[in-house]
Amino acid sequence: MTAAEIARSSAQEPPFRYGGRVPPGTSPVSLEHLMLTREIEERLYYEADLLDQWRYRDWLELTAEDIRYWAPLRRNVRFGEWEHEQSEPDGALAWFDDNRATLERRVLQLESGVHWAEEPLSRVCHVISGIRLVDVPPSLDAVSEVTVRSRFIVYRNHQEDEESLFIGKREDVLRRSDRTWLLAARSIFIDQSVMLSQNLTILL
Amino acid sequence: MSRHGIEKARGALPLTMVTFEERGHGILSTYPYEVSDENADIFPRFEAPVGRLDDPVTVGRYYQDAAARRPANSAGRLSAKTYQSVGGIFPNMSFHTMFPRTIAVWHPIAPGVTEGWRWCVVDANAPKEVKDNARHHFMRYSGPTGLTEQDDMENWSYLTAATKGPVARRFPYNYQAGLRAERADERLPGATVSDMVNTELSLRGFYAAWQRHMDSGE
Repeated sequence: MTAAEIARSSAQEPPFRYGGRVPPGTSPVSLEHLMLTREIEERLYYEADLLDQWRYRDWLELTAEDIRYWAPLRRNVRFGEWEHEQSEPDGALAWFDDNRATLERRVLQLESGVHWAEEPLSRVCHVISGIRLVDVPPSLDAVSEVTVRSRFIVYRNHQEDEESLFIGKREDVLRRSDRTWLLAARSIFIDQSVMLSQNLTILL
Repeated sequence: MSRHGIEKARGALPLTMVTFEERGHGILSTYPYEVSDENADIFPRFEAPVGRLDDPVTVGRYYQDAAARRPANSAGRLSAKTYQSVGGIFPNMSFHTMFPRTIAVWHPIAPGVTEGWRWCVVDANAPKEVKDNARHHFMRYSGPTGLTEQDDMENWSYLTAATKGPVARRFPYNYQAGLRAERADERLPGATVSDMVNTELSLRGFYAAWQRHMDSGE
């Protein structure tokens, strides 16, 4: 399969939805695909390093002006009614539905030193895995934007004995800029219905 | 956003704690007042986009119109509405009145475990821009990911843990703050009112009702 064919077939893949039909993955057979995947992996691992080193301001600078950072609620639904499993992208509540301005405020709060839920700052570890490109328009030869899925396990230890674990999927849109890939959209699917941690004070 | 509205309303109308001891309900709000042109505008200002879809012009116009209509709509009735007031309905519901305008329901799951649900209230006939603005404001404020309530969650869960300690269990809790500073009020039949903000009046009302239910033998 050529690079262009891979790009075309994966562009048809629907957005991630729990219980939704996901077509068989396309094999990354070309060297370009492999190199692009590696580049995107490096970008996601770098971002995890920034977040785990409390470099929230540096993380913010790697986000696009028009970013949407969204984490829907997850519902318990009957068999087959999976279209209602997560809160709708528009008009519904979500754990997060931030833009650049509100992410900036989250970072300001984390940097304030008087944010009790993060004072002292938590020890955080982002484990990112299962990185897979699902949309590469317009073609691998002239990539401007990619959609990438990943799995995350994020561990948070606060104070002495307080532990939280956030596990789920992400679907990101990364946009190529002069120097790097900017995060243009992040959808976070936390695999919990009721949030079992007392709060979620960190960026996923 | 500015607190312009509440400062104006509060200027003439200091905060009052009200409890209905027979029922166990309580509210911290202004003393009930007649709405006039002077205190009609209790709405916050959204001067620049903050939420993802914010349209401050449409939102601002909506709340200005609401303020302009308020004296006529409220004629002959008392109001206690301010930019923000908080209260509780016995036994497990509480609310914020304006921004955020939410209803919380506290589900007892097990000893020491409570599950909180929060319902966000928007005006049914408001334009979509106003609903989006309110929804994004509520999301940023409330819940385990809310900028404000992230910190509240710490308090709520640690105070639960603190009540389990041997010393905490050895002594009765003290709810004396503001005791004897309360009074009956002819405008609010059945209510006990305090002009102190730092009073435990509403907690005394809540736990008195709780104790009556526990002792009723039903």
